[in-house]
Amino acid sequence: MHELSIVNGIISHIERQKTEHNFDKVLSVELSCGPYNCISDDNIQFCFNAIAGSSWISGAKVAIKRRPLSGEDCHDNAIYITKLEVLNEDKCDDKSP
Amino acid sequence: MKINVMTKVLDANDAWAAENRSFLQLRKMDMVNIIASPGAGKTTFLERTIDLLKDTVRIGVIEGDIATARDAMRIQKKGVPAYQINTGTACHLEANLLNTALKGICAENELDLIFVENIGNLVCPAEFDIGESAKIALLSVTEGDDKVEKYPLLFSEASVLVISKMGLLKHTNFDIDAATAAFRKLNKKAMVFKVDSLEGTGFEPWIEFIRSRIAKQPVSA
Repeated sequence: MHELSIVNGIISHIERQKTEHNFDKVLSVELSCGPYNCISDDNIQFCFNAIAGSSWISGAKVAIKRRPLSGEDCHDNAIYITKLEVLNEDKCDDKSP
Repeated sequence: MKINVMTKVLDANDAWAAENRSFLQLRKMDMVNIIASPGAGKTTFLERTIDLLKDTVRIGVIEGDIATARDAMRIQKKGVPAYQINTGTACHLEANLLNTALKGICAENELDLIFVENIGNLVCPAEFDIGESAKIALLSVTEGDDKVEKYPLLFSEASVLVISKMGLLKHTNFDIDAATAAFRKLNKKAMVFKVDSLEGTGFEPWIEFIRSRIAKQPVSA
C-alpha cells in the first residue's frame, strides 16, 4: 500500500526533471534502496503503471537496485531515484519503431 | 538521454517531517512513534504508560487508524487529549497528516510529550519519517519470535523494542533469547523492554527511558 505513496513521489520527481530537461518520454527509472526496504520491482511497476495510466509517462520501466548493508549500524533505508532514461522526440535519438 | 538524479523519493514527506520537528522543538516537546501489528497491544500499552506518567508529564496521543475513533476514545478516558487520524485506506501515517494533527492537539493543550500510535502494520509505517525522535517497535509474544527477521526494516530502525503480553509467554513458544538475538543482528543500539500492560509488570525501565527523554527534550531523527 505504501507503494502508492512511493510512486507518487517518483512521478513528482519525473515532472520536476521534465521542467529542467525538457523531455517527452520516460523510458526507465532507476531506484536505489536499502537492504531492508519493503518494496519490490513487481509491486512498484504495477503501481507505477496504474497511476501513469495512458499519460505521457506510461511505459516507463522501473528497476530497483538494493544497496548492500555497509557498516555495522547502517540505517540509511531511504529510497532514491538515481537515474532516468528519457527521450526528447524532437532530437530523434531513439530509432526504435 | 540519461539523467542522474540522486534524490530521495519521499523528500516531500521528509520536508513535512522536518517541519514537524521544528514545531516540536519550538514548543520543547518530544514525539515518539509506536509501531506494531494490529492486536499487538499498542493502545493497552499506551493506557498503562499514561497511568504511570500523567501526573508528572503532560501527554498527548495522536491515534492513527483506517477507521473509527475507538482508540482515541480509550485514551481520552485516561484524561489526556487524543487526536484521531482516520486514513480511510492508507495503511501508514505520513508526515503531512501528523502536521495537521500536531496543530490540532496543541491548539488547546500545553504538552511535553506526544505518543503517536501508528496504524497497525509492521511494514509500511517504518518507511515514513513523521518527525518523531524515536520509533518504538512493539512485538507481542503471541505473534512469534520470527517476526523480527521477517520485518527487518522496522526492527533495524527502532530506538526501542518492547516485547509485550509477557504474561502470556508460558502459553506460547515465543523464544525471548531468539527474538533478542535476531533483533541484535539488525540493531546493536536499541533498548529492549519486556512488559505486560494488563498486569502492569516490567514498565519501570520504559518509564525511566521516557522520563530521561523529557528531561533532555531531544528532537532528532
